[in-house]
This record gives sequence, C-alpha cells and structure tokens, in this order.
Amino acid sequence: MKESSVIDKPNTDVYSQDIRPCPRVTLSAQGPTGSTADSAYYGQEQKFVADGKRFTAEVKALYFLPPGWDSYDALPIDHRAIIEALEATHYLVNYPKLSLPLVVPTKAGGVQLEWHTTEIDLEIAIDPVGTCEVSVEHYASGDCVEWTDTRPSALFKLVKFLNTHSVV
Amino acid sequence: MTQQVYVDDKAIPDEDSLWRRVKSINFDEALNRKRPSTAEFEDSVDGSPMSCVWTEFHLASGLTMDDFLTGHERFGVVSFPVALARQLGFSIQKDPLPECPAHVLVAGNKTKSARKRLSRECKVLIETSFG
Repeated sequence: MKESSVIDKPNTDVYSQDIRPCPRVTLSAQGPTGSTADSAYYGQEQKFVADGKRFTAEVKALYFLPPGWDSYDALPIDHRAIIEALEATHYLVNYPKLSLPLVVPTKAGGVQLEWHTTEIDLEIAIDPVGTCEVSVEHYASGDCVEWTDTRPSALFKLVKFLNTHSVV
Repeated sequence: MTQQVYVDDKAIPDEDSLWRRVKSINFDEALNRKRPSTAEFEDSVDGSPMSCVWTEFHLASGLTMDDFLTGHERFGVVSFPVALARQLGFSIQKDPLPECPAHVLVAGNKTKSARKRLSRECKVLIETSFG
C-alpha cells in the first residue's frame, strides 16, 4: 500500500468554530484497500466531515437564539443544557451506528438530540439542570420506550437498550 | 390559581387544516423524507396551548402564507389536519389576534407519542433548517 498522506493538524476550516478540542482527521491518499471499495470509504469520510460541520453549526447557533426565537415565547437556550448535550453526544458517538445527532433547541431553554435512522428513532431532550427525557423506538422489534433521569443514568439505560437490540 | 378550560370549537371542521411555524426540519431515514422535530409541537412556556393558524379561515380572510411569515422569514411551515389534532385528544379554540384573525390554540396534553404523530403525519409546506 502506498504511503498515506496525513493531515496532522485539525482542519481549521471545519473545526475552528468548535468549542472543544477537536479530533484529528486522517485522510488517506489512496484509501484503505486500494480497491473499488475505497469510494465507500471516502463517502464515509465525507459524511463524517459534513456531519461535523452541521453539528458544529447547530451547536453554535444555540448560543445566539434570542428570547422568543420560535416566533412565540421560547426561552434562550441555557448554556448548561448545551454542555450537557455535548457531554451526551461525546458519550454516544463512540457507538458506530450513532453518528453525530441532529441538534434542536427546545422552548424551555433546553436542547434535544435526535437520531432518525432506518433502525431506530432516538430523541434525548435535555433540560438546563441536566435531566434527560429519552424516547427510543426500535423499528425491527417494535419496542418503543421512554424514561426520564439524570444524564449518566439515562445514558446508561440507553446503552443497555441499544446493546439489547444490537444497535451498537 | 384556576386552570383555564379550553373548549373544542366544532365550527372548525375536521377536514380543515392548521399551519404552524417551525424552526427545525430534518431528514428522517426511516420515512425517507423530511419532517419537523417533535420539539416543535410543545405548548408555550407560560403553559398556554400551542399556537397555530386555521388555514382555511386565514386564506378566506384574504391573507396568504407570506402574511403568516411576515417577520418570521427564516421559519418553515407545516400543516396538519384538524381531525388529527382531535384524534390526539386536543381541543381547538379560536384565539384571534389583531394581526392574525385565524389564530387558534391547540390545547391538550402534548405527550411524546402525540408530538411524534404530529411530526410524522404533518405536511412540510416550507422547509427550513436549524443552524
């Protein structure tokens, strides 16, 4: 295999707006196998970068929502909810089938993380004090459950659910 | 403190529809189309019911989608049937505003499952994306 070219610094164009140290992005010159499967590999990398840009833009936008941002009476997003959402994301993106979530502000000043895949529908609504309301639906089994708990406990239960349903 | 009681106004027919402004519409891989977040169908922070516009009355008043979005140009708009709201146990009550005579309140418990149905069964009229 040919020597890969490695970008050994963060891609500042993509990550300069991020609020946490970013991971290094390694882009191979030829791909991992040198075969036609490399196009899928590059597709995954491109998706990773695009997801990163989208996620960063959504998180950044949370900080600038004024009161009434929903055109009705929504509260500005509490920075504690944003931190909690980032912590939850950091915890869950270790699971390969969960890419970076969609980020949605909630009227009460919280943040909702969402994954809408062909396998599961998962939403985690996080309020400013870190309480997580989890709603997960696994299409293949038809299982649909909800619970509310502190972030660590809520995520622990979620991972248990995902493992049980072979999602991770 | 007395709790306000909202009465379902039967003068609003089941076959009519309601518009709601939304901020976040994303792609759902399972549905293979875009839909709004369930977070878009919550009651107001002060506890008053979810605001919508009675589409047919709005249009019959000579107003348009542009009027609905005046001052809210970056918002998306979704539409759902009055019948769906009633199926979910919601009451629809007229609440005319000076700038929006077709304004209505959709009262009732916005459970996660109810919000999920609204999110999945509504029609996206104008797309938007958060961020």
